[in-house]
Amino acid sequence: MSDGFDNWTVQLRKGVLEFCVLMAIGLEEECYGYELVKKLVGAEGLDASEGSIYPLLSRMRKQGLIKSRLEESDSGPARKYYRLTAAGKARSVAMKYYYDELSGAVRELSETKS
Amino acid sequence: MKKTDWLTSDAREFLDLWWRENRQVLENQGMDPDEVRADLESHLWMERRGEYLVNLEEVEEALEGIDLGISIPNIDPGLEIVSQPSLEKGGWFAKFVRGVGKCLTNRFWAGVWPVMVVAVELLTGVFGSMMFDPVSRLSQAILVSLVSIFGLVHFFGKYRQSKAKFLTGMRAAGSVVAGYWGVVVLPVIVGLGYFFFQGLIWSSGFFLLALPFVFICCLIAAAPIFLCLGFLKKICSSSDRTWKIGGLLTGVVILAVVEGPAYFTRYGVAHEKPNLIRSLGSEEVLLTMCYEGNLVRRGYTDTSGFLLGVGWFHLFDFESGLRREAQLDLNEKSREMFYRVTGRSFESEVPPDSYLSGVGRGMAGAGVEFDDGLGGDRVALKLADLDLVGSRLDGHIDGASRLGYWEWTMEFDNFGDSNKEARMQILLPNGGVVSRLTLWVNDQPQEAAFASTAKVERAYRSIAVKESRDPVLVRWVGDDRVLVQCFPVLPEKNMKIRIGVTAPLDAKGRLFLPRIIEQNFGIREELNTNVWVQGDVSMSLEGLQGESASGKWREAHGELSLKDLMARHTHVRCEIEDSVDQVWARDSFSGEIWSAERVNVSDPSADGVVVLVIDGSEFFERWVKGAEDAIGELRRRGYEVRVVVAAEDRIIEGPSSLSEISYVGGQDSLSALESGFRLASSTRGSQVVWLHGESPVVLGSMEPLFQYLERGLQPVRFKLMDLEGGSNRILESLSKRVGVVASGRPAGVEDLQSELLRVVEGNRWEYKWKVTEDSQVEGVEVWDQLVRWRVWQQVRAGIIKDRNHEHWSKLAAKYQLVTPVSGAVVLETEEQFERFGLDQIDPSAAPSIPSIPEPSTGILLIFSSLLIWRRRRLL
Repeated sequence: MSDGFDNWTVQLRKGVLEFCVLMAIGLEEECYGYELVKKLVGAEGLDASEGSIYPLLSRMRKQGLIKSRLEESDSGPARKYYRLTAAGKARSVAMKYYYDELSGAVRELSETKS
Repeated sequence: MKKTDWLTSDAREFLDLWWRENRQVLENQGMDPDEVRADLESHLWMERRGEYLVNLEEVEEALEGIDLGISIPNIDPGLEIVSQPSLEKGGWFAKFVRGVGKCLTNRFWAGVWPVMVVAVELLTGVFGSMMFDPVSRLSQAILVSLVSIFGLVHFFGKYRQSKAKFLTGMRAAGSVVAGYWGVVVLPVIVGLGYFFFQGLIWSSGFFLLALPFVFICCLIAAAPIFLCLGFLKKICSSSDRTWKIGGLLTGVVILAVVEGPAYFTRYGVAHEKPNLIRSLGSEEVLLTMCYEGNLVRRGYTDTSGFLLGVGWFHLFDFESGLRREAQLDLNEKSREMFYRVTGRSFESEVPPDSYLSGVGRGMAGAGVEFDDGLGGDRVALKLADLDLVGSRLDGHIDGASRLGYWEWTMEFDNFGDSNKEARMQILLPNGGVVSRLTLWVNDQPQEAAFASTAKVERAYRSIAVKESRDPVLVRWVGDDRVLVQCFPVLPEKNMKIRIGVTAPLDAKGRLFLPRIIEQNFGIREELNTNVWVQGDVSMSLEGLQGESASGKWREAHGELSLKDLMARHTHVRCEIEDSVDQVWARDSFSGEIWSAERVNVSDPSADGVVVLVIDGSEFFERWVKGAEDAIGELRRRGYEVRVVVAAEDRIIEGPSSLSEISYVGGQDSLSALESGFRLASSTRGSQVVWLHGESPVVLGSMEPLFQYLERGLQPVRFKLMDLEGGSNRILESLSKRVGVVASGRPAGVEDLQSELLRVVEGNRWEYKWKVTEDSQVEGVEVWDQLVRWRVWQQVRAGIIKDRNHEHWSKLAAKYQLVTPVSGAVVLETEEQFERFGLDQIDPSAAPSIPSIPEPSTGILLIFSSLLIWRRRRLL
């Protein structure tokens, strides 16, 4: 593919990554950071890396969308657990609404064309 | 785990470099750089589970994913990436070492273990009782508990990310505190290792068996080290320098607050700076220092003492005679300093906690287990498990002779499992003399033998100390002061003694109660003394509930708190009629009749200079107002009063006002007395009046003072006013050497002025004695206490003039008196009395509280007398 396409996919993934993080965290009451990252990194198509998720988590925490707590571990560093704040939940709902609307519109347009 | 010990060195360098270059960028993009790094490191660690080293490629890969326009650092292409071996590699020994290491690095040791050790130590004091006390003070106990509990919570607790920085600070502070205790206990671990190594050389089999014990002891001692390492491990993974440094500084400050006073105290003792100890030191540590070097716990000390090496020599068994001498010198300095700082004797305090004997100790107070003062001349250290449990005081006052007689019955209980000697110093009423001593042996009262002091001491030491049988000894130690010793108070048994005291009423018609001023046993707070006083005079004693009268007889009785009795000069106030000034009594020892004429006397030429020497120790604060009023009154009466005050750790001559002086600690009365005598000796007819309290230590040589008293062209009259009671070594020495007698005893501040005037003017009553015939007796016949009192006066005056004490000791013994040259001892059997050439007195010859006739008996007696009289008339 051309550079232009690559750039477009990168921008699209970056744009949707925050939404994916909120969605993944919101699936459960609380989720373990390492497993969250592994889940996101392992999600096909999302093509996320650890290096991109941790800074994002930090920024989202500072923005008050998520909150974290540490729990001591028998081995290794303390485990970090994340959960959505009320603002995070609201943002997640809004993003889902918008994403559904956007993907619906895209689908509608593509079906009309075909 | 250190933060990067699972990274290869090049990976670590790369990460550090990346961090330094991009920290600001991350922050600009709305992230917490510390958090991002910590998260990445955690992730990298999790990827390898800590079992393999993370190499440069893996770090690069992780960092490349951060698509924030961050540059990857320019790594030198020539940098050789060294392949790190897996930690799992190695033979069985490496695996064993790794296993032990893994076990010891388990968070149990840094989280749970310290709490367990601290809890057990605080509850049982087992470690403190063995070597040194790691938590000897309340502040230490609180700090150590908080830090260990914080360690526990920190290792197991869940906390919010937002608290991470604060927790870093707390960990840093905790690491300082735990580190300090770790350094303190380090010699113990080394010592245990040394002990084991020494054992291996000399007797390998036994010591190999002891290996687990040594190992467990090491683990116990290492608890603070584990805790410290646990904190350090955590704070190393944080990059927040501000909170780290802040926490470390906080830890240092907390430690300085808790431990600083201990070091100031030790410095103050070494450099003789009582004021430094008063302001910045710790009384508790000073008291601990008084006991360091005690024969039982030679190595005992607190954290500061142990860190400074007090206990090391004992621990490592390097003790030398020189070291021992140095330790004893330090003890003496500490004991002296305790008085200078507090104004009290260290012996009167409850010893440091670690001297407690454990569960089941005596109820009234703690003390030492081992008594190194047994059979000695001093009351010495408080003993554990020995209490005074019963006290009864019976008194009789005879108005005509102006004499009183007290019988004090005491019971001691030994709650421990070894024989104990009860010792106490009793302050007698002014001018009093012990005239009876009884010991209950198998519930039967046994009277004492009176003999020369040397003879009774020899008997007591032989029977008590060597044979551990049942004697009690009373001997004179200073004017109005006797030392009572009874041994053995058997384990789980009690011992009952009775002491009789003959004493005159003072010029104000007061008879003071005897009181304990120094003792080596506990006295329960709630222990009361049952007081019953009777006589043929009107009397009053504050606190006595029951009072009744019948004819001329009066009695009062009730319960008085023994602690209160010990704290002040309590007295019975009598209303004496001046009409009787001639009395007589039959001397049952010689068959003579002694007649006594009472005369009021004053000191001749009582108009010179009065030098008031004031012991400005802490106690004097409450006497200041009374003393100022008294000095004012003396000056109004024309006396030239010069004042010398031992206060503020110096001698103040001619202070403008007593109230401007600060009265703290214990002061050097000896130097003040020397100054007083220097002032007084230049003027003929002058007198020195020493207002004193407790002086449990002598700060210097007494010889210059003796010189003033024994020499000089212009003799100086020396008078003592005992304001507080309490042990007084200066007074004891003065009494023994130059026969100084106590002149006055104010009952309270309000009484100081009149008592001081009386003492300065020398107003008192005396008897003029003469032997008379039956047909020539005049005045009122009184009890035989008059005879004892006469002999006591005779002996007292005689031993000052005549150095041949044998005559006086025989005379005193004959009249059953405890004097400077005679004592009293009760032994268990007749054989023992015979062996030491002692004559036990007949119970019928011993003084006792006279019976007061019942009213009906009195009437019957009068009626019978009338009948006899009438019958004679008729005949």
